[in-house]
Amino acid sequence: MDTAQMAAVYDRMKDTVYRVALSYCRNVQDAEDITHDVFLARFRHEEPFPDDESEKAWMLRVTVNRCKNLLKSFRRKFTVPLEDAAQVCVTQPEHEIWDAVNALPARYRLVIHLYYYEGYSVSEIGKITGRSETAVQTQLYRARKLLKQTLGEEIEP
Amino acid sequence: MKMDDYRHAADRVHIAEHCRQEVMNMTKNTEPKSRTPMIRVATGIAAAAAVLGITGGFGMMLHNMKTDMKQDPAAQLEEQVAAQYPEYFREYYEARAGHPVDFDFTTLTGTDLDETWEFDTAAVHLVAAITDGWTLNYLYTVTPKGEWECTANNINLLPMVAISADGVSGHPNACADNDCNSALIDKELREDGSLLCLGTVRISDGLTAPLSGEVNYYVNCFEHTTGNNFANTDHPISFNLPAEQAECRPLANSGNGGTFTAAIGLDGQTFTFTHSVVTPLGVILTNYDTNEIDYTDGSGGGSSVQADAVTVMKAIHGESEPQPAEITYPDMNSEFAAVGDYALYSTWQNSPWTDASDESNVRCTCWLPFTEPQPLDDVMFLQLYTPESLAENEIAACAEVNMQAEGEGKPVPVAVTSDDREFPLYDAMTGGQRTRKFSWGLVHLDDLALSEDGKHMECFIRVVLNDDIEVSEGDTFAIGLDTTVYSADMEHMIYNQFEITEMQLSDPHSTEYRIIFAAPEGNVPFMTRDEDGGYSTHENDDFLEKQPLPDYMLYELSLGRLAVLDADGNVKKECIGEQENASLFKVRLKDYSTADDKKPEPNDPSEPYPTIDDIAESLDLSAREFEFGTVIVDGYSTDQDGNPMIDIGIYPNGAFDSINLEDGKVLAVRVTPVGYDEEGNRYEMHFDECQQGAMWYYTDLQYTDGSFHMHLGLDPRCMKETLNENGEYYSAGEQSVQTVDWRTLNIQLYLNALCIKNGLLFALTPDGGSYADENVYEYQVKAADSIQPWQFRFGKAAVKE
Repeated sequence: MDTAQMAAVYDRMKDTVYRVALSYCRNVQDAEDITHDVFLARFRHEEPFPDDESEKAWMLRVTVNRCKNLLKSFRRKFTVPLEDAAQVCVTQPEHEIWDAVNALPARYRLVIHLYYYEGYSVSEIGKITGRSETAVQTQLYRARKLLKQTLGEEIEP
Repeated sequence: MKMDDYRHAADRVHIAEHCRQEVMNMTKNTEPKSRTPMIRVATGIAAAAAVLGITGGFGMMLHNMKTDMKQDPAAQLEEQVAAQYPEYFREYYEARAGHPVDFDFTTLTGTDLDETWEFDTAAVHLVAAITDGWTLNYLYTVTPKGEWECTANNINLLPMVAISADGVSGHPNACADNDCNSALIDKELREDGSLLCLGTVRISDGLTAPLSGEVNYYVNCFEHTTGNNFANTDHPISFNLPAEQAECRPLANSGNGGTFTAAIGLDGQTFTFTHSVVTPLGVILTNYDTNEIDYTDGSGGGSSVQADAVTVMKAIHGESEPQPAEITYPDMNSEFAAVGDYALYSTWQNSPWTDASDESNVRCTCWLPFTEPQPLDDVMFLQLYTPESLAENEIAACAEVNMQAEGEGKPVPVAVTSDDREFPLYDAMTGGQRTRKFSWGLVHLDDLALSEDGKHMECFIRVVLNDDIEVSEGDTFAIGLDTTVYSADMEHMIYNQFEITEMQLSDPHSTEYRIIFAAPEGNVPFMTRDEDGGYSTHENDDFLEKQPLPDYMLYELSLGRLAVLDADGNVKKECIGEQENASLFKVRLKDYSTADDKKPEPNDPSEPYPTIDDIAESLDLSAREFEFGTVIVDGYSTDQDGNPMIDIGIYPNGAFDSINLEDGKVLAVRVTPVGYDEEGNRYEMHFDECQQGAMWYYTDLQYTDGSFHMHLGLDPRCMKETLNENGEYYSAGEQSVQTVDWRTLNIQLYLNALCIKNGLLFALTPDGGSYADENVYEYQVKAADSIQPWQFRFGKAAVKE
């Protein structure tokens, strides 16, 4: 992969990877570090992907693994989350749901983001996160339930 | 609330622009650097010349590395700091597993090693080492020379590498020289005729305190064919071990939480294990007892052994889901000692040569490597069971390692016995309790939950078949489920029989099937307890609407049918034998200790209130004595709109005998229900909004046989939140208008006043006061002191403080 190809991949996928990392880590610095790692892994990956979607799924799976590893790492335990990403919200409803989603446990944040934002199916999320479909379904159910408790109303897809 | 709002916000999340430049700069090197080498190797590992002399190959990765080093001095320098051990171990595990391994080996502490030995029969190359904090595992290749070929008979005669501890000063728990012998754990014969070997050595004693900091080891290589010739590296290698290690935990008996001892037979002896450590690389069993260990007695030896019956492992991931296919320990009957098996390290408190007969002095640790590393992020339990128990129907006797620290997510198991049946709390159920083993396979309860409307059960079932059941192409595998849902007091029961339904295969190459059962939307007959303890069926179409499932919290699940069906739906094989108990799981969704099961104290606002049925059945709870008589909350009914109506009766003691009701006078009462939701918000009825009459609305009582009765309708349209954010009462007209279901609230019912209308002959209040806006008081009847409001709920939603 030459530099131009790397740049193209980066520009195409940077925000997708970063958003998942930020969703999981809730920390800008960590999310940036993970994004770096993911792209380096992508650039080292020599086998071609059949299509962009396969490449995206592969990169998100790597992202999730990197996030999990980071959260259990020694360094993470002494890192104070910045949690300054809420500035992306403009309206009050955006603030409310953004805060509610980010208040969820990490695994629930992840499935909510992948399901509602990235539009992945339960099966696809299972493959990305390394979880069974049942586990993803359960996590989605519980995430929605927690959101409902927090927001006081059902969330509309 | 719409998820579009979340999407809009997420759309504005962009990575900082400077990151692009950083990433692109890092890509200018064709081989990215490892950011932080985690192990310092003190051997002066850049003995490139020695490396270049090696013939044969460990793997393509290593070959490429050597080539690069020859061709490019800059790359040579680069490689000295770029750790390759993650890829070496990935290559090894992928070869062993037979498929790609998705594990980030950089999360483990490791190092590249580069030691070589040349013998007449073979060349040996030590490649890399990795540690999980408890074991040090290293890879090396053995490449036969000349006509020598590896066979099953001579494979053990090839040279082997051993890494031994260097007697670590400053580490009181460290191994002595002979106390940490290494073992060859695996040999893989490769296509080119070389062997890829995995050796292991423990790095702690007794598994009580893994080492940390810098630890020195010696690397040795033994060559058997020439009489145990010995060569060492002349210099130690030094490891900086990880600061954090997996925790050693006692084994528990799956099912009841008691202690457990795993036993392994070995050379006529039985080694018992009481504790376990689970790391991404495997399971370590030990018979260590923290109260007994005495390091001053330590000596002993290590060996790599094979036993005929050890353990099979199954990890339960995340939401207690088993993934037996990935972690099941393979090849228990391997013919090769120490090949693909496990490593058993023994430590004798006293010398085995002088006191070998005393088993109590033998401490042993056993490392059972996973087929491939497991991230273990969400693993809650790991079960261990022996081949003997596999033959049993019940899995409950297996040992279980709790992977989560107490107080950090794993609830203390709570089991409630009702009607002599034990219903463990679902969230506290162990993996063993969620698994039921049959002769044909396993049934696992993946999840049990209420539907989002709270009215219907959803049950996630997984079945893993063993070899006894064959589902051919074109056949379907189907299951039927019987569910019985009991009310908390076992007085009511709903029985539902799910028809036999096709299960979905998890993976085309697996024997694992899944299904989700959901209680039907339609009406389900319910049963009530008879006097003799049995149940009578009632066909009440509205029952579920009136008494939805949250009141029915005890679930008993049984297999109805399990069968292989042909393409026409005909049964080819019925899986459940007559001798098999089809009972699956008993489980409760709610912890009674914090809700319904606890005897409510009606006058304690911190307690959930008793149900309206409870207080209706008890005079102690339902009756209040006044000077004019007794007021009783008799129960409730519903109006035409389904709103609850509280039935109240007044039983006078003669105070009204002088009043002639024939003159058009009516006895009226004013009662005020006040509701509290889970957050403590207060709601009151305000009749003036939806009923004719004034704020202080009196309800006429109907006279029947010497007593007076009323039905107080709890119309949600009359509900108002009466306190503002500051806890102050809203002034008139400022009330927050909310419609709240009374059935979700804790209710306090106040008797405010009693009067005889058509002249307002008198009024009274529970505290003996009166209301100034009542014009005429012929007389007052003081209420008894310490009258408390009635407190109750309708039973569907216990409110926790």
